[in-house]
Amino acid sequence: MNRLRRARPWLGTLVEISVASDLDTPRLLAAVEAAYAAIAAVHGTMSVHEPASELSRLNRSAHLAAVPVSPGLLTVLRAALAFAEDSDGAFDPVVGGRLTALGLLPASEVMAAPQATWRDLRIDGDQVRFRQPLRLDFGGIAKGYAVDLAVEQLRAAGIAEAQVNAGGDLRVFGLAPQRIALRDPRAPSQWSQIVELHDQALATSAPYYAAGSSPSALIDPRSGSPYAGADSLSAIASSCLVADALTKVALFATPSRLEALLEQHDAQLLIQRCAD
Amino acid sequence: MSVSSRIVLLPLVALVASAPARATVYLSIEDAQQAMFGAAAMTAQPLTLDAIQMKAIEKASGVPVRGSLVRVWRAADGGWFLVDAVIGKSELITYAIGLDADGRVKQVEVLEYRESHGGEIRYPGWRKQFVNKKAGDELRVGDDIQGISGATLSCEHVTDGIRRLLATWALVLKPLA
Repeated sequence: MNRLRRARPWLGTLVEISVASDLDTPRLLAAVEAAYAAIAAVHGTMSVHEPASELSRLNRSAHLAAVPVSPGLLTVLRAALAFAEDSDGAFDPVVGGRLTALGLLPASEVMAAPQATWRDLRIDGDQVRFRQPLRLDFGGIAKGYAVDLAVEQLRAAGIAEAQVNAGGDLRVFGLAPQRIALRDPRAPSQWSQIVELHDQALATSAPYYAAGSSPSALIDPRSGSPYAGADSLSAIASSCLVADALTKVALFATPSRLEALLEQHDAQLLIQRCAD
Repeated sequence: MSVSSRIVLLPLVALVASAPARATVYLSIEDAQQAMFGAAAMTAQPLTLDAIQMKAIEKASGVPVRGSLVRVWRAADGGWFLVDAVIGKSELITYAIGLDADGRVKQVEVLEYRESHGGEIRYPGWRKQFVNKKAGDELRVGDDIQGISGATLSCEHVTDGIRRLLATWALVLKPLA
């Protein structure tokens, strides 16, 4: 088996790709490049930090007129809206206005209404329209989507075994299960548990890196209140997009909504509870 | 411990000592050079910044310049290769950046990632804590952990570092070429 491991900065974090395969090194490298290209494309399309991204352009203009969006953005938007509806707004991609008001996102030209929600958004075909100025932020879901696309590229290239890890949100595939450590929420440079994954994705939300300009600010979209708990919440699902979104849902959703969503997505939630 | 079939509460055992520090070497400097510039010959051109240059780079990039030494190579095709290290909250990241002759970023590769708090596995009963393990899977102490999941760690130090290196190129290296 030929093995390769790379890490590059994308999506506001380090994205690590590890592969093992019988393919020769040039083909292995080409597969890893294709996977990074897919991640770079998601960054270029869906970063709220890049003023030139498609998402930023949408945020600047969709309250004025309907805007056609690319298939990738539409996929993520539809998935995000479904999670918003099913979680009763505990997850909401329209949280960008709140994050901006709280200084957790850089200011933009258009003043987004902090109280805007997913209900202020209309999709008609590939056209997206806002009912009032709002700011979509895919921070809770785009990393997972990018990981899924990278995994697709690696599979299509014939890679036998791989892991794509976007700063803690990850997905694995291969014959053998892979052992993934969960960071200890009390001391995040250490790990406390090991999870075995087999063709699955795992994402984690926890407050220990949430301060400052971290990409993972944990804010209740409905109230703007920060997550008050100390627990670390990890979700295991078949796709990283779903795992990523579920960890955000789990922060603020009612238990019954959360249970229903876990059931719907055949997912599992792991809670590391800090006693104090 | 299960709250329901879908929600599992994981016990946090007493924090006795550090779990292993994470240290991953991805690429050597030579391998990164080859990945970015192929077979082109690379010539080391280490650079020592003077105080005026350091101030100018800080001003242009908005990023503090903490050291005067810059590790620079020139590629035979006119490109540049720089190696830098940044320190985050608890991690040290060494990375390389390749620029074409016009200073455009070709590629960024992390060479080495290291989390600082080292130590041994000292969790009592840690082997019982495997989650989502299929029946019949054997696990041995010392088996490698193949990844870490946790809240997303920002890589703003790396992006700041890249901004600082691009300013270094524009202000100091470009005029040398």
